[in-house]
Amino acid sequence: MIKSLTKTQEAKIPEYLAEGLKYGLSTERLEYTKVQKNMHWIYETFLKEYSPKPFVFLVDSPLQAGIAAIILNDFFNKNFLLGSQLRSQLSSQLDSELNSQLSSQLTSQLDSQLASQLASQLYSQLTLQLDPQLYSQLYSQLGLQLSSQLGSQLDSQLDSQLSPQLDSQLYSQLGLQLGLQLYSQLDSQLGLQLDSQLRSQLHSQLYSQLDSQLGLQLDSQLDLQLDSQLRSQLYSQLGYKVSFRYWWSGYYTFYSFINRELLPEIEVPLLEKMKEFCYDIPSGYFHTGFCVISQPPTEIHRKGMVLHNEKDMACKFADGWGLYSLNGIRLDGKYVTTPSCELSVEDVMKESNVDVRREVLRKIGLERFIKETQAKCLDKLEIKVNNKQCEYQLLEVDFGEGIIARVLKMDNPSIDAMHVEGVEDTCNTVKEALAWRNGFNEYVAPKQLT
Amino acid sequence: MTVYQQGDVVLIKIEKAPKGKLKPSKVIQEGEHTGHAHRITDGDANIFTLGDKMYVKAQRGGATITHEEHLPVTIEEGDYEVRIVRQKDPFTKLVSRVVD
Repeated sequence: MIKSLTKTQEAKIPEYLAEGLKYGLSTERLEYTKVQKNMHWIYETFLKEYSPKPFVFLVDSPLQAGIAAIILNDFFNKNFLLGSQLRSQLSSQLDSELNSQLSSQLTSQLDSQLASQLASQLYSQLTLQLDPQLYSQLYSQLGLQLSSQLGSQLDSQLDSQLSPQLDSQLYSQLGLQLGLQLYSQLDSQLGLQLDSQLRSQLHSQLYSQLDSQLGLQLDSQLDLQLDSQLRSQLYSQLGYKVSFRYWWSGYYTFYSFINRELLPEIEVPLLEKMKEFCYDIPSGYFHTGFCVISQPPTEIHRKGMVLHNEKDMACKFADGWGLYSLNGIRLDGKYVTTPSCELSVEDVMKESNVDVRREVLRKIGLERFIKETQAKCLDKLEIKVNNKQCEYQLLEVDFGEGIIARVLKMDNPSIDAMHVEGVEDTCNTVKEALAWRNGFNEYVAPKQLT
Repeated sequence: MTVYQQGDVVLIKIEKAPKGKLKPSKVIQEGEHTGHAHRITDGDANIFTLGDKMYVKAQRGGATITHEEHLPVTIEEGDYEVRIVRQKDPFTKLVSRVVD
């Protein structure tokens, strides 16, 4: 049982993290054949009993992938339904033929008629399901549909075109099976040979680090962006999503460190395969019979460990879809593309989300905010946050047109930012404002405040 | 009154939390723009909901609540009422829970 790392092994951790991030933040376009090969392997290996070998679609962005998953689900479900009806019809007719006491001539006549009827039915069904031409036709139609279904057209067109009937249980099974099988295999080969403390230390140093930068910063934010653009009802019908590159690469890095640095004598072919699909498949939707994978972004801009671009999208895809982000906060593009001199203090206070408000305030600058609103400081108080003394101020601000309000200005030392939040006009001191904010009659100093 | 606060989440120690519905996840509050969350990451503790109220029950040894933008808060064993701080919109004069 390995209980601790040597200094040399410990020094290797940053290299593994850097490698994980390099692939995780890669903007290189994916090759269809590679993606298809990997997806077929995944379905064959882990999902065989739940789904046949899938059609693999590769699209330009998570938005396209989401819409495609909904459209294709409808298409595939109906086809599978027709296919199964046809199969049962065919077998019952054949059975009755075979069991009948008809003469051989009649049988052969019926057989040929039946054969021709069934052949045409079968052909059309097979064409629908298997013909590669149709596959590419569908693909190009889908592309056209997708581009016309953005924005306001999305709801009405999807409403009439779609009746998705997804089996959520199946999707969770797909995900569960995939995760359970993979991790239990890797764990039994590698993880269990480690002392539990060391395991959790490595887990937090490798897996959690990558998760916070790739999973939380990229994948979660893209999901939130998608959710805000697809109606929530449709969003819930997207099916099971897997983000190999953004969430699973943390696990891959974790296990690969254990294998390469701690247990090099053990051969783990599964790990090599996992590397391929963690690095080559960013994210996609898994369905029975098909899957839709999105190409990675074409641009990713970061400041430190978070998404940040002061001029354009912080994460952009080939079709133009993406997200704007300042200091890791996803926000409306207008706050990024509008020069700060054209943003007003009203824009700050009208923004209901406190994180977004904080970033807009940061952009226009507190000095300007105070000057333009002719803010008067009514009270100030030093409060310990994260064991640091921070100044809180109660300001009375004049937004013009007779709108005078009281706002609490607070420092957030954890992220070196400032917040302003509106409070009740009856608050005259910082303590009264804090009490009102927390729903108390009088101020109670928290035992711990972070 | 014992109060713990992590950003916009306030935990007030109470005598006994009423019986509520067990929340399957350990997430107290999730940010709508960041994907960040206040979540119980350490210790034996569960979240319960009753109507629009939320409670945390921390067993022996207490529990730790973490968030990507704040230092962790360690609460002692006991029952807690969870409150999300409120704010007032200067223009509409409407009071709402703070959402991050």
